[in-house]
Amino acid sequence: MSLLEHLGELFSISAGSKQRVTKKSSGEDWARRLLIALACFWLVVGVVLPLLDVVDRATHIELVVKVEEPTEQEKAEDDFRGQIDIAGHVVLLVREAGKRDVLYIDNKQVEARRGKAEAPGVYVEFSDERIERIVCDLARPDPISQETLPIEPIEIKRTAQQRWQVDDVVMPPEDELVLVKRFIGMANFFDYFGLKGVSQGRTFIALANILLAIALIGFFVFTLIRPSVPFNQSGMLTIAILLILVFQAFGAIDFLTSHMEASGLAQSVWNSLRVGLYTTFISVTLAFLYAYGIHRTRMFGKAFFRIVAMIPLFAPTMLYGLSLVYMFGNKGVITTGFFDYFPWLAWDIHLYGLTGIVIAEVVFTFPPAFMILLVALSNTDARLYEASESLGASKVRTFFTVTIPSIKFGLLSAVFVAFTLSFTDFGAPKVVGGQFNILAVDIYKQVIGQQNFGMGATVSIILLIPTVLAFIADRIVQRRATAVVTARSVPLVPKTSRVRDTFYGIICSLIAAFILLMVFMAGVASLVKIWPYAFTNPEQYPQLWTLKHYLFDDVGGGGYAAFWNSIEMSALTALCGAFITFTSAYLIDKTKGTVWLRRSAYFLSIIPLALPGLVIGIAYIFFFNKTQLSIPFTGITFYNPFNLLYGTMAILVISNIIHFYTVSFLTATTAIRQLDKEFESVAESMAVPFYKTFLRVTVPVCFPAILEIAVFYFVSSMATVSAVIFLYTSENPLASVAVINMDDAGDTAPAAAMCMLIVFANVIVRSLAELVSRRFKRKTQGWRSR
Amino acid sequence: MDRNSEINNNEYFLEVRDITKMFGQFKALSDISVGIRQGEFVSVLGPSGCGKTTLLRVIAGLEEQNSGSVWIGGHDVSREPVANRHLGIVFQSYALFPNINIIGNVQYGINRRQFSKEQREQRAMEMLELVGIEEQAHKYPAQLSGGQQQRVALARALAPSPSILLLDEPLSALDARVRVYLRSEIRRIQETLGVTTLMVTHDQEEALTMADRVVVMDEGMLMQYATPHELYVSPANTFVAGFIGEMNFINECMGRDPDSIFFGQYILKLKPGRVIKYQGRPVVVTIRPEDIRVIRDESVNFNILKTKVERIEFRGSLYTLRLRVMHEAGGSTDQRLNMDLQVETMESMNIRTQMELPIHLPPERLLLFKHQRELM
Repeated sequence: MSLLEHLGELFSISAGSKQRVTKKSSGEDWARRLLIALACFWLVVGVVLPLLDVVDRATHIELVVKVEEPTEQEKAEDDFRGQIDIAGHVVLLVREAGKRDVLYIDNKQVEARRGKAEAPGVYVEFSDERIERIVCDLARPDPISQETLPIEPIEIKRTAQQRWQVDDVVMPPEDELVLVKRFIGMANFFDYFGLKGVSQGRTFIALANILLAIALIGFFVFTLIRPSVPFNQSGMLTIAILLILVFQAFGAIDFLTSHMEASGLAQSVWNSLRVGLYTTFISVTLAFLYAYGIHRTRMFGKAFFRIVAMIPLFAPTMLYGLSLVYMFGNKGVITTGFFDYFPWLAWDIHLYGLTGIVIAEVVFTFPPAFMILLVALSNTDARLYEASESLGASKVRTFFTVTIPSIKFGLLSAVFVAFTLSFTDFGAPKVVGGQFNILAVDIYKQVIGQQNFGMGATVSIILLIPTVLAFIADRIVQRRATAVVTARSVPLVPKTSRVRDTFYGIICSLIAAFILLMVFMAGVASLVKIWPYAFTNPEQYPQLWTLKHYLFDDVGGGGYAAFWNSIEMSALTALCGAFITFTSAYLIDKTKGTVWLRRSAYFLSIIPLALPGLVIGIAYIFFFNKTQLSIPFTGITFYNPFNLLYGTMAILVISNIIHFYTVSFLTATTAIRQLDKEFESVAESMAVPFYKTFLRVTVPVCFPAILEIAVFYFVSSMATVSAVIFLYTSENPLASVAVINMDDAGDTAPAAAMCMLIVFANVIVRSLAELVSRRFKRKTQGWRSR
Repeated sequence: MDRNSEINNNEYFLEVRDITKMFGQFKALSDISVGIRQGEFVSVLGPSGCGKTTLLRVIAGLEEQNSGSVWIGGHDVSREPVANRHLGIVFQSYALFPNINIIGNVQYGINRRQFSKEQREQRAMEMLELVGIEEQAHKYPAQLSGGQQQRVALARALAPSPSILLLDEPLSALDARVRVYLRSEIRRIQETLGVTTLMVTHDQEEALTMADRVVVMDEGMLMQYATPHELYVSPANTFVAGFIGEMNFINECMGRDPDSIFFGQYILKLKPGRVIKYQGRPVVVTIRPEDIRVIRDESVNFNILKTKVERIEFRGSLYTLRLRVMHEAGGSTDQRLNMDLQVETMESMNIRTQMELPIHLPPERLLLFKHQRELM
């Protein structure tokens, strides 16, 4: 037996614990395992490690220790004898007239006895015109509760070799500065919510209590819907336990809120939740009506309506904000009654704030909600309706007993998707949010504005929690979603009904008109030379239409450099993303054995769906900017190889691939699973290597799906702003970020112009892909049809 | 691994020994041992869920057995991956590559390093001619009918000259007419090439008409392994007896002496000595519908049952009578028998329903089994 075969025996991985005659692993098996392990590795590096860094930053505080030693010249001519900045305190040693060492702590002279001095939180030892040692105490005792989180003080001392040692690490001689990390637990969260007077331990328990109560309430409601779950059989016991837990939870909430000071920061949480809930309600309702109209009636123009519903996918969310500003802003078309030409039209809806954000988010979340509901409505069996009709049920009753239950999983899924998207969106609120604070904008302000990474990380985690909960709930729902359509189902063909068709025709027309308005209003405005003066004072500003804004002269953001850079980034994302996604999906689905490896890879591939773009962006700043990586609990550090990627195009591409990974991955998996399961077995029995079958059969047959995935990556990368806004650099400007910057600077028209450029680029790419797809389908007609 | 035990000189080309396969707690295969000679065509027959496909997949190497070994050409291949076993497999769904044309599909498995492009094409065309669809060589699978696709799958599996051909329910997706035609085609091709073949099916007519020997399985266990004739004439247990062809079961019997049994108040004689081991014990006695005789003359005076004709079914080439056995003294029992009767006999005897019909059970046609669980 060869060495490889011996090794194969040693490391043979088999599922199941029972005894089994395991096959020898061939070289091919090892190649596949290696590739799947590689997929796991890249996902861990791209998702897990950066997230851990976010948690790390949110729970640690970084303090600066800076040492300034006097030069020889200063020793000869000057009084300066050394300064150490430590955790915000300044310790200065000066030699004053009379050959005396005088110590200043925080600019106040301090009395010294035998070379030792003290100030609140700082203890200094010095001698012979030199600072020898400083101990800085960081603990902030709470005046009310007297409980403190023990934080290790920072100690800096001079070593025998005349070097400085901070904690246990000796500073290299050239360094003046060192960053020290200290664990502060949930102190950042306390600051954010204005919690005072409670210990971290008790808060933690209180939160766990609340979460447990929520989970159990959810579970209880769930069992009500599905009474077959055995837990609900002992009804009284269930209710009793639940009541106890709910009371406890209320007590915990009361306890926490009583210690909370009204903090403007925490208002964001509530605001974001409101945005999420209102948007979800409106968006899902509209999407349902629209999908119902398309699938269940015989109204006119269905093809047109389908296309219009997809258009918002091509645009960055800032576009809707800008369109709304032009319509409902202070100088908006409708606010001013079309500049007083139609005063009866004037309607001020107080755009900036919740209203504007919700409207923009409704447009943004409409396409995904619509698609999910359309698929759900399509998967019904006409025979159920025939049965209901023949048994004499009214239309209303049929609706509630047949239609709603058959789409309940799609409905829930649409709700979770709409909530997550609107809760975490950054673009539209940035443009049209005004003073209405939401979490996404808070993160941006903390990181870009205040450079407070710890707080940025904290708010990111707060943003993550509802998102992850919604994600988990969606996964649970999906797991329970059983196939409604069986092989014997009959597809539903709607009957004509004048009244109903007209009704839905009108509704869908209104919705479609609104979508088109939202997308193209900004486009129209981008062609107006000076808004609104070209309309209100035509004598002074005679020229109405212009392409000037499309030249991006005299505006920041990067202009066409940013645009083409975005194109490049999106193209790279599309190519690399489609390749990685499809290959990973293939390996995970079609490799036999090594079940735990494949399951881990699958699980890791699903996680990115739970991550908002902002969190990815901020996590990447932390992880990829580090120069050192350390293995926890061992103190071993090594150079961070991924640091090379920071500030390059590569990190933008990687963040985009991760951001949009899950949807692509699931698309790929679905396409692969539609192939005959025995292709691989046939190829195996003929000793054809797996990659040959992959290239000759799998890829060509799945080509339409691969193209879909590539286009999805491209379009999403062009329009996204949340992840890249933290990762772009001046060498790598981006179109979507340029929009934000131009809008910030008040250059609304060029911002709108850039948005339209993004939309055009996406529409062109999509149309090209459609053409390619059609040609491909025609050319391969021979083997596609019967 | 003991080199000596690897080589095994015996008559079987393909052999499985004591194969056991579990899926979790479910035992799919229990100690299956089967030997197939070179060039033989063996069918694995059984009801759904009996483990026949699992057995085929274990032989192929697509599933791993929990214990037992697989031997090909005298070598233990239990631990070899599929690619090293030199098999051709035809699946129920054919699994033809949709984007490659027919001749491309057939060429797929031929070794590229060993044979040049021309040699591969030539071989592929040979195979297509063998299965009779050389005209479709440049079409795509989706343009072919089910039967044609099946033949392409067969050609593809045979093109690399495998030493063993495995067929997993190859005909079950086709309609009846095509199936009958393809049965003889497959057998013809197999005989022409002389390739050792194992075919899994749930259709007994297929198994009995195509195979040299048949493995009958039920619930993961080997029920009988014999030629079709032996299975029909000498089934080894009540399962095989009832599964192959039609069979009458007379359940409430008791062994009487080495030659005869009690059936209610009737005494039935069997082949001499057949009942030796079962005297005084409950047994099941069976007889084929075509073996029950009407009584033409008075010379037959034993093994006679009184019956009443309950229903007459016309089957084209014969009649089947549903009979209800009566007590000798009158009054009906619960025992029913099916009897096949030639058309002429029916007409000459003018048999009608509700008629009393004494029948004779020839002792040499009666089979005896231990009293086991009920057969459906």
